[in-house]
Amino acid sequence: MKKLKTWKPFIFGAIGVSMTLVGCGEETPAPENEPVVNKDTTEVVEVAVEDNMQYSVPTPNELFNVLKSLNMPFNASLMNDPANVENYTESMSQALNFGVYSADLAMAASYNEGTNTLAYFKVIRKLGESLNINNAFDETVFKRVEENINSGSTDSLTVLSNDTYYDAYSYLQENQRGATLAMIVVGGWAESIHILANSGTFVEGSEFSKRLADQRLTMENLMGFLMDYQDDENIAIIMEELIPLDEFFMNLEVIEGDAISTSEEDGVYVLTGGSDVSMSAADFEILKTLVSDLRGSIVNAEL
Amino acid sequence: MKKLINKILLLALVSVPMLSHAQGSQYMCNGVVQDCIYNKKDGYVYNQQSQSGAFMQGDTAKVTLVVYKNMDYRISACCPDYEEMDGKLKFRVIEEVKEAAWVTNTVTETVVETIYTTDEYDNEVAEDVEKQVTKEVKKRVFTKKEVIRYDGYKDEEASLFEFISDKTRKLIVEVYIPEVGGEGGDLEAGQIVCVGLLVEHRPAPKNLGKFGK
Repeated sequence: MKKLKTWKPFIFGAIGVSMTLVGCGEETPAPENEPVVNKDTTEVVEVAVEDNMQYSVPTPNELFNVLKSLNMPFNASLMNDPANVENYTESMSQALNFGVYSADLAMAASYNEGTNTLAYFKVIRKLGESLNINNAFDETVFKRVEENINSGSTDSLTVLSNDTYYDAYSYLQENQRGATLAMIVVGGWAESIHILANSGTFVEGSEFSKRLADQRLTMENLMGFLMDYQDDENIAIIMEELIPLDEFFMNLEVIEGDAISTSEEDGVYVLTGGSDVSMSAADFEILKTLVSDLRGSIVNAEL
Repeated sequence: MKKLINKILLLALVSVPMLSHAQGSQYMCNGVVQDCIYNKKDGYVYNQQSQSGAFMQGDTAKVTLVVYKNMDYRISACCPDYEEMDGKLKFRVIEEVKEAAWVTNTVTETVVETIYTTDEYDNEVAEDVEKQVTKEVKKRVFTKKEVIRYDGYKDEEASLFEFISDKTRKLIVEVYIPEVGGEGGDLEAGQIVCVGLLVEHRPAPKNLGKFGK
């Protein structure tokens, strides 16, 4: 796998050369009486190609911890109705919605919503069967969930939901089903950002707005992660669906922050400083529309 | 030409098994990160951004992670199959930072200037003349700089990086797999090894990273 990646710079280089050649052939005369600007050749355009980079995408669990820290209330109406599982008959919609329901499960578990947690565990098990990944799940996990809920002990629900996601993730990796895994990751992210965007009132510069703008970083890693599977027809379709959101995040304004600093206190490092990404109220409305479109096409099985 | 075709065919025949072997090794190492020791006791949860992979000794692997504000993260690397690697796997944590800077470019413009002269009959004649004008243009740009947030190469003892962050950021973890095979242990020189990069997280304790009275 690693060796294949070393071809990337060569391919980009070849495309670059051929584009240059085409450019030479299509020389167009400058319009009359307009200044012709010859830019200094010392200007450098940096194109970084990291051929040995792996891109990791944070899971919904992590994001919902963030949501909780912002004291955002639990809102079950934002989650995908478990009854919709019957609508997912194609493998693509099954994988995407496995991701959606995994995010819903993480949300319910992180808010200790026992009944909802159980409902989403059940729906994930059902989709797992359709996707032929049920071997990944340790059956005791489901028993433990029921025991936890029945005994009123919901502390470990987050751990159990995390374990379930991990089991599915590892199983797909081991069985070389990377494209299915990638679809699950996309579904999970789409549902997470949908819940996040609809959980708060937008105030420019607020923690809520910053957390939304932060998703730019996750978007970058998500696209990097998907690039490994873009030869798959379904992944190519999904990547195309993600273009508006990718472009939206890329165009957000980057503002200078405090000076970079790293300090250490009792073995714990504290990372501070660096630039921020800002989001205006108008940006927020655009984001909500884009997320709603993406999430809608996933949960309505339109992709 | 025939020689070239033969060379290409030979290369193709040699590469296929090599690639299959590399891919096979990659999958062989799936889930190895689960064998790295992690500490559930302190409330840490296994982070799905953890990675497992197959590497040649001497390789350097890179992973980018997104870390959230107000979370306490721990990163460690392990090679559970070979004791020879204990304490020798080193990693650096790098952040690519954008910094604003002014860049001055020298720009040469070709300007067409109309010059009016009179001919021998005293008529005014207009003539377009191209002229080179050089000027300096200042542009404000963001430049990329790599900041090393943690350097495990300098840290002889620790093989674990625990941190919190004041904002969500993207970090690059660069793991170096040393060449320690063939020195008397089970690991042979040139042998592929399975390496896990373990990431754990938990909500940051409220007072972590803050000074009190």
